Amino acid sequence: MGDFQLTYKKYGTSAVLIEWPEQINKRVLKDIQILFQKISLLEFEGIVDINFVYCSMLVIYNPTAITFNTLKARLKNVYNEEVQIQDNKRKRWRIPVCYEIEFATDLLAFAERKGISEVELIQLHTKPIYTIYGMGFLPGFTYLGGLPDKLFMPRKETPSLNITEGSVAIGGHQTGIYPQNSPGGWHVIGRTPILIFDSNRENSSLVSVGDEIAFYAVSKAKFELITLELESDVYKFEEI
Amino acid sequence: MIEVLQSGLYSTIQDLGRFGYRNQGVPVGGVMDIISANMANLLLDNQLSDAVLEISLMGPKLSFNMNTLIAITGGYRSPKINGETINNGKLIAIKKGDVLSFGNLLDGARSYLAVKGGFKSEFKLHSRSQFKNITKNVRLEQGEQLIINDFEINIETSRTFVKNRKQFYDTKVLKVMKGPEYDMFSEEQISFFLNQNFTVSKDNNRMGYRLEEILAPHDYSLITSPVLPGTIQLLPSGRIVILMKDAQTTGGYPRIFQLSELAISILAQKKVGDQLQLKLTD
Repeated sequence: MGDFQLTYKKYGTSAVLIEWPEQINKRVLKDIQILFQKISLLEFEGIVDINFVYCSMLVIYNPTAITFNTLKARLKNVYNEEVQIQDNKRKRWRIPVCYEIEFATDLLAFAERKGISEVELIQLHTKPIYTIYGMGFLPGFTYLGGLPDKLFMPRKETPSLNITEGSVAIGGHQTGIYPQNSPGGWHVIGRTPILIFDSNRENSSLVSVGDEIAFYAVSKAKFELITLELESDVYKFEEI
Repeated sequence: MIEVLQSGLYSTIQDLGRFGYRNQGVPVGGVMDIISANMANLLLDNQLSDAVLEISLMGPKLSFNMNTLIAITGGYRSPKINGETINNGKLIAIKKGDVLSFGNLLDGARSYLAVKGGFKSEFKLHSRSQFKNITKNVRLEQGEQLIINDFEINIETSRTFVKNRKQFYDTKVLKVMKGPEYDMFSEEQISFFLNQNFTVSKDNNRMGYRLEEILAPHDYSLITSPVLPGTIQLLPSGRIVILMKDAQTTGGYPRIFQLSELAISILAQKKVGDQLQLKLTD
């Protein structure tokens, strides 16, 4: 039996939305990942794409290959079935971040509003191991859970028009990395030289939903060194 | 090869979209009006997955340096070959040196140009659909050269056409199904939605269509969840947004209705000021 009571909703003519109880935690995420692995393992006919984030999963199917009711019944069975799956290949990434003012355009204002020092802010941000609960908004944009409550900050009322690729930012209870130049409403507190998403790479996204991320502070010199290493293809992505 | 003499304002190469990458936040993309795009490919006996040029706003000017067959469907933009007006929905033989241009938009919003064998543009993450940070080019550019296959014309072409007296998108009615958060709304709110005439605002593009009418603000908030093209979201401000093919893959606003596939194609042919009505179906 699965651990949770799930609901299965018809969403349009070619998708099933599976909903877990509305909560953001690792137990739910783990349960979603197990179902995802089971579905992938069984190579279900008719499924064209799967997308999951926080506590829901969207299964997109080809309606000429399978009907909603058949797919729903099969998904229910699979959820409750004991399937031997390999232990999750969750990865834990170490991501270098330069918190120097040149890159961290909102760092000073952020620290001031919070009544903490810049050093404290950086310490708080680099302490947790964050979990990727989903990806969306932009290719490679991660929804990270685990931000210390002390770093909560409402989004900007007026979004910035251009946030630079690699910017590390805080918005509400979340923190994340902008994978490309884009407008955005989060507060930029640093920048990473790592390209989270690159469609020219074999695995276009470096990270996957369910992976974990820890940030560590680097100097501007180190940032530039890593940039060079990445350009010359000798940089080794750090896993813990 | 086709040389782009003038790019026009916004034309993109599209196929049926990019599947299998939503979990990395990659939008599905693909042709906005799949009915017209399929029709153009069918006229040419192409695969439905062959890439076409989706033309919006001002059309481009293209010079062909080979023989081929083309078909244009969707919105009628007064296309011309070497200055001579041609029809939509017709198989047209192109000779080396011919120039295709476009004039005024007389109906619809998006036109589809298909060439025999499809456009052979960059293939990235299993699709040719152009999208920022995925493909190098994100729209047609002046001076660009589009690769297509040479095709020796040896069939009688002038008689193949689609009868199109009345366009399928010549309606303001969009059929919708219940969205995942339909039950969150009161009967009164739903009936307001279904009895209102809506207007397409100027904020309409491949990512989504915002409507002019604004409903009462609300404070339903959701934990971010997947969304689809064709989803009607109600923003806390009361703004209504209909997501389209380049929309992001996740969202946090109530998903009140979902457009049918046909309704997405109909909406793709609407432009600012056009009227819409929603009709609930199963």
